[in-house]
Amino acid sequence: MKWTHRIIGLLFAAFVLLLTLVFVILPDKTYSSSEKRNLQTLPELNASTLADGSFMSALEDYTADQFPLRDDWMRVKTAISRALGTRESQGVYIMKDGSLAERFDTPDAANMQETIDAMAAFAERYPNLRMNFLLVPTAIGIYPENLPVGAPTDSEDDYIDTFYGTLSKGMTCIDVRDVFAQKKDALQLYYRTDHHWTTDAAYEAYKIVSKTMQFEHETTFTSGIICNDFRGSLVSESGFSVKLPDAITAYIPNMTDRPDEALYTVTYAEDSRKTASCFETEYLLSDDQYQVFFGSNHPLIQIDTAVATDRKLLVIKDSYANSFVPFLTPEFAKITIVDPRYYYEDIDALVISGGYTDVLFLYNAATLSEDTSLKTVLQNVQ
Amino acid sequence: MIFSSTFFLFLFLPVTLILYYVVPKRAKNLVLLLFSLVFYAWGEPVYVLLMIYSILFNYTMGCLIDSEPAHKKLVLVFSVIMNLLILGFFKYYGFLMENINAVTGLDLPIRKLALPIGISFYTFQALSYVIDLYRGRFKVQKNVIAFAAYITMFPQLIAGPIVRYEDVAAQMEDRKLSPARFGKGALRFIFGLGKKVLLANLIGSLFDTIHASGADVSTVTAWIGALAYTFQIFFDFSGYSDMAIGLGEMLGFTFMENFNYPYCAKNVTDFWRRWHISLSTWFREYVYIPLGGNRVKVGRHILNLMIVWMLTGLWHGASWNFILWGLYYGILLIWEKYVWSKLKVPAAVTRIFTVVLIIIGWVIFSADNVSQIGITLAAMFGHAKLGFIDGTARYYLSTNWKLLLLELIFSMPMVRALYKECTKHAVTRVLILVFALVLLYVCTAYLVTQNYNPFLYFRF
Repeated sequence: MKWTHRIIGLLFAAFVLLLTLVFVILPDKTYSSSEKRNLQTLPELNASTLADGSFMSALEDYTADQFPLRDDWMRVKTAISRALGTRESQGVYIMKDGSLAERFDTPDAANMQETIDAMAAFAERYPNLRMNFLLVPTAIGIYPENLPVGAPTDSEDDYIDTFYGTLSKGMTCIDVRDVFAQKKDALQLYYRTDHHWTTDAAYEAYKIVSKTMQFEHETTFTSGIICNDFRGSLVSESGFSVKLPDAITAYIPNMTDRPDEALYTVTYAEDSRKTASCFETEYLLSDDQYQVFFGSNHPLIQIDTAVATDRKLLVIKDSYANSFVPFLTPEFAKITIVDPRYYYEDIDALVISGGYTDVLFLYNAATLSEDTSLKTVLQNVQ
Repeated sequence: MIFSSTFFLFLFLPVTLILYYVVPKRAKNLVLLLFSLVFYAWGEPVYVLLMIYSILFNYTMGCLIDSEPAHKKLVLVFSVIMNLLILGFFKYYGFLMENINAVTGLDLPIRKLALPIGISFYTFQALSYVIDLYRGRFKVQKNVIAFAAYITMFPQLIAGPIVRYEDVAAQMEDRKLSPARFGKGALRFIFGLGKKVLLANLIGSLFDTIHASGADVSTVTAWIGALAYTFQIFFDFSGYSDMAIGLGEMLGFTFMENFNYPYCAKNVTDFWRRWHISLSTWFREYVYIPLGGNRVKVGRHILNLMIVWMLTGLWHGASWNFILWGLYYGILLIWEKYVWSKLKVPAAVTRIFTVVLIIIGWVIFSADNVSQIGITLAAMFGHAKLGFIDGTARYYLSTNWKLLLLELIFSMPMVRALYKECTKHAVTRVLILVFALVLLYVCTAYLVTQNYNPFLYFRF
């Protein structure tokens, strides 16, 4: 065994030293596109970071984050985990059809009640506004049969039932679940690699919303694929690789019958930037192409259209609305989009000065179940 | 710092080893000491001072025992008390005050201190030095660097094995290094790393999931959870011991074996000859035998066993479930000695019974609090909230049966027998080599991605 030991010693030393050498030589990266996060860079050494140990833990993160071939090691790891039978990672399941979907965890009941109370109080303050709530199920709620057999998850259906059941009378609940259940085989309602709904699903929801909110026009849309290599957040979250990337579709309203109403401006409040489109196409080259819709989430976006109508809409929403709002531009003179997670202004001042006729709350069940920002914004605690 | 991290394996270890091998023989203890202090200070910048204090104290006590033979008993008693006071203060003070408050209804202020890592290990090592020096088992260590290197030695600093000074006294003066020995240590280290990173961590995440479900489990799920922990703690702990023994070998030390396939024990007594051997040896040597061991009357023997096992439980942590766990083993050992062994039960039955008792022991050990022990045991023995078996249990089985099978295979001594056979032939030695390299490669993949931690909304 002596010779074998010597060779093992040699190979062990060579393996360790080689990787250490590559690690030292390779330049540091600041951002990982596959994980969609900033990486730890060389931490600063001083007496206080040394005494409280933060220097040491940062240095350990640094070695792990900057390790050579990080993404390849990740592939090796997930391949082995898959071979051992793993179907879940970081709360993301590999579904029977090979797509990825997030587990649903029943929310804290107290938090849900507080959110509902805040909404009821808000609806009471503005009795003249037509309030609507669209709570969109996620993939796991529509395709529970695709879960690995017996995989633990809570029922999203029950959550939506409870939420709609306790919501106050002044709020119109829009339920897309029946339509989604009918269309779920014919259409791809959710991305295989991302936690968002597809634009096709948003279009199905639009058709229901258009009836419930009594839109004046019957607008038709032209759709087309604008991206076919989308690998969404669930891939980076779980580390599981998906063979087929997703396609992203965009819908454009056909306004040939009223061409003078077709144009609109989009204003992003945080930097007063104006554009003439809901689509920020430069994000098609980024690592999260879903951001093509409004360039992801912003505290407040205002759309001013040329549509001849009195109706003005306030949308209070999460990221599911980003691909949905483009369907609404032919119906309203003004659309204001507020994302409570990033909005710290006075919501009452906004509502009073805005002259709105309609309000649409749009959330997906997973985000809303964990959300604490909606109640904060509606309670208008400054 | 822990062994199973990229920082340790790819920065700390190469730098330490290169320097250790480059410097002349007389400087090796110093290099070992300095890097061990860095290793310790890494997670405990302040407590390194406590450790230095403990070293200087015990070093001085050793010198006193040597130079003042007339008062050596007094010195011994004083140093044992001091060591135990330090350990007691940092490890048990908060727990003690909590219980005093609970029993008396008082509201005494409690300042819970962070536990200095490894304090239970290095205090026991220091005690073994002063006690055995008093007994005249070896000569006093006059070189403070050599003594400090013994106490702080990073391979076994934070998770054992508890190395008694007696076993390494000669090695502190003179150690043989060779390429073959380095490779032998590296091989052992890789095996330990594999146990920790693959077998322990993977099954550990299954345990965490089931543990988090609390009472919402079926009987089968509860058993899967208990089994998962049984494997996790064994591979975690014995993997860490293997890494320590391997690193020791690379540095020229020979440490005692700490585990010997404990789950194949013939009975509970045998289990404790195979589980954390350095700890049970320590308690036998310094508590059980001084109390009189088994050469006393039955009543006293039972008392001795209960004392030793309560202390063993308490050593694992300042919490009631550890004390219960210790007493549980105390009772089992007494039962085995005085009742079970006289019943003439077939060996196979005793074996199976022993495994079940060990699993129940781990349920006690792994519980967050005493009431959880009852809930889990009730679920395991027919009073589960979700019936005997449910879909979730089937899911855990279908996604983990390969892993569970691997864990089972690697808990059995036939693995060692196979390995021994493989070392005998040239062809199979190449197989060992390839296996070790693949294992190292796979472990690296798991180490690198340990903090794979995507954050999806940071930029917004």
